[in-house]
Amino acid sequence: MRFAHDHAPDPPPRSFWILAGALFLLLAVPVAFVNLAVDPFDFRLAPHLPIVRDKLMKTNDSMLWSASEFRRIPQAVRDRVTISFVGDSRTEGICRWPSAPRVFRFGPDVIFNLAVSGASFEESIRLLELELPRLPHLRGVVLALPLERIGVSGINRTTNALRLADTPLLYVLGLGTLASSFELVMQKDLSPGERWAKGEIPDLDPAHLPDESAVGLDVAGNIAKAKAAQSTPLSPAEQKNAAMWRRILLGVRSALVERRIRDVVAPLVQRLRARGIAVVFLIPPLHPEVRRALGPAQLANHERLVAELAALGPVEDFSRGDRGGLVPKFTDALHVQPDTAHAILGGIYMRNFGRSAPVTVR
Amino acid sequence: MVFNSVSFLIFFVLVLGLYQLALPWAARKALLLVASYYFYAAFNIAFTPILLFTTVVDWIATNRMARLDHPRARLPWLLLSLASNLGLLGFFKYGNFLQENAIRLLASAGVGYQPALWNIVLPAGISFYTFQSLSYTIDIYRGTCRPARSFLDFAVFVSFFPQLVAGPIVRAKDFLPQLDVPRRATGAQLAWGLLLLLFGLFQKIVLADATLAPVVNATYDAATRLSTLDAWTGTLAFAAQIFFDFAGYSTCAIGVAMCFGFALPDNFRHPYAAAGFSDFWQRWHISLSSWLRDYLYIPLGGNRRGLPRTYANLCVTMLLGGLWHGADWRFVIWGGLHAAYLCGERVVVWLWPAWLLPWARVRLLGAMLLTFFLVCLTWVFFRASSFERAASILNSMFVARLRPSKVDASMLGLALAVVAGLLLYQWAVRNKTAEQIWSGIPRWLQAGLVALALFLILATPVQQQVFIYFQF
Repeated sequence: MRFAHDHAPDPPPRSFWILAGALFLLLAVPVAFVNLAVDPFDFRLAPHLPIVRDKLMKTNDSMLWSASEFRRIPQAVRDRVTISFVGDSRTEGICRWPSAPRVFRFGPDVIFNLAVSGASFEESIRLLELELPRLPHLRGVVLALPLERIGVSGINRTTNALRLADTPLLYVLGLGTLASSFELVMQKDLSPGERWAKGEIPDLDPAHLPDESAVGLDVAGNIAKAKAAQSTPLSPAEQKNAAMWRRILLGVRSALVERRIRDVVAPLVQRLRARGIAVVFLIPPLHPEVRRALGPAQLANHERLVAELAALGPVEDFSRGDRGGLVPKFTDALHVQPDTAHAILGGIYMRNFGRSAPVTVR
Repeated sequence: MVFNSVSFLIFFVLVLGLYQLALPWAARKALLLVASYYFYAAFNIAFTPILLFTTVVDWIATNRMARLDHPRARLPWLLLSLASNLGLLGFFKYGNFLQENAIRLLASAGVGYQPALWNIVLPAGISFYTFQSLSYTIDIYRGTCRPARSFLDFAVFVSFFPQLVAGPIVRAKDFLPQLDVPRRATGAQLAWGLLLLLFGLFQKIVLADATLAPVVNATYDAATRLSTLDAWTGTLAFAAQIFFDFAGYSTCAIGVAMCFGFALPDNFRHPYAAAGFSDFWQRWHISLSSWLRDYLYIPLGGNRRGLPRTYANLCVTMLLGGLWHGADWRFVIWGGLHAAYLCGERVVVWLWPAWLLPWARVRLLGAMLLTFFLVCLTWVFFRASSFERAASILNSMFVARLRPSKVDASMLGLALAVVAGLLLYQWAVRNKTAEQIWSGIPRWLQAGLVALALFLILATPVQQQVFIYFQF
């Protein structure tokens, strides 16, 4: 067997290391300069160019978008958080519609919307685990488990981005940051009038968090509105998407879903309960056209998986088409309309966390 | 704690700094032992008693064996070690697999037995350190290795952190003598060790994780059937990804060990330049293939008992080698395909007429291409999440299916360029060692490569991923 040290090359002279260091600086310094000056994701590590960054942040599907937003939430705000929602864009929309910030007051509670558009199951869980130590007064977690997506292997944009944000060297030297910097400076609408902080993420003041009026808490009213509304029919492209959902929904991956509930969700619930945190499972609404297409085997499979979750904690299953008198109405194949979103948020809160009836119920 | 993390770099610098202090050799070995257990506990502290148990049982068994002259007298102690090691490995690695298959078997026989699932968690690196420790007990039984001088030496041998969780699998007769005399890295070893660590991290972070993994994940994890282009691109990208991932880890391990003055065996030698499957297995995961050869294939009779027995031994060895990788029938199929290739190669070599392709270079190139192509087919079973998915991907690879790619065009092009570069590089240097290649590069270019590698490691936007072989 050959050993790697048998012929270790002669040690390089000192000039070699000096040259390597100089070449490294030659590569790194211009990148760092551009990234610090443009600061495309508004991390504010150094004085930067006064340019508007919101367009990039809203249009670019960058992993840094959510991280930038989370990073700007001060610890004093996190200290007040009592309930957190975790999931993908469907959950994000439930908490966020139409323009609520990431953290808002909700009766006596403060809700932290940790759901991220496009988040995989793994990403949601990792994001929650990353945030847990920073949320000392958390008493409840609404964990959205879109069952059809648990089996899909995860990407971890947000958690990695948060780590990146916590490691300034990576942000400053990053080629991904550099690409965004170029994209930003190449935008054509950087007019001087739009400069300064216009589009940047506002700082949240822990003493003056926006309250429930920002999200509308008239649950019964919203249920009524949601009932009156009609789901937007699926476009041909969405019908194709719906067909894709049908194929993977609780079908071939059910064994994997069961395993993940057993291996990941159950231990997580135990850990949260040990900290005195209640866990509620949220199964987001399924578009009626998708649901109609499910066969009896798939529906039975669904019920079995929901029953497994129910053994771990309360389940808010909106995929059945009716929950608490609410029939969800959709804007597309996956996302619900604003009134439905309001009603779901209020309903979940009242059924699981309402300590002093913070919502108006008629 | 993985090599591609800041916490490892801090750990490495601290331990190396303490190791350089003017302490007695026994104290520095104790430092290595404590550091190794800390390194292992960082994965999951609950696994450390298993590592300690393996170490203690094998230490007792081998100590007893060393005092006995007759093989028959040594046999019970060998059996104790085998039962303990293979029992632990069987329980932790194959417990869930056996239970699931037993339930399925009973269900197919009409028995609806649904016991509570065991949910056994696989301890990191158990396959690697179990095989390493086993090789020691078997060598002691055979009398081909001298016993360790102390429990400390043996414990360091079993748990040495650079190669603890993913190899290379080191033999006691190679490692224990290195513990006999105080060791510190020479200037050449330290410099080369750090360069190996740098290039190992480059392979893992820049090539495997940032360039190839997104393409592999986008294709293999897609919910729908792939186009022919995506199926081939994903498979070729995975062939390169798993090489850079595992060879990157081995390179880091060898480099880190060398910084402490220890030599570990090479684990890869340009495997995709292999001309045939015997050649492939002398270049890919060398420490495992040589382990299987020495402790399984040869004891089964190797090629000394006639042709049918040789083929049977090859099949048993490769099937178990496949199962070593993971408790899943997909890995058995992967091993079975390699067994079939090895058997087929023997037949082809035997039947090959001398007049066909007399040009050695053309024959070599053809053999390398064919070997790479067939190896790629086995990777489909290795990477796909299920048999159905593997079948779907193979179908897409061989039945023309023209669809828009699921992968971003620039990522797809970059991944294919990396695969092509890897093949051309390995073919060009197929018989050279890393040291020979490095020594042949002008100093200014070496400095440029070091600067570029370091810059790309720091600058590449990457999702940190564990090494693929950690799951084994």
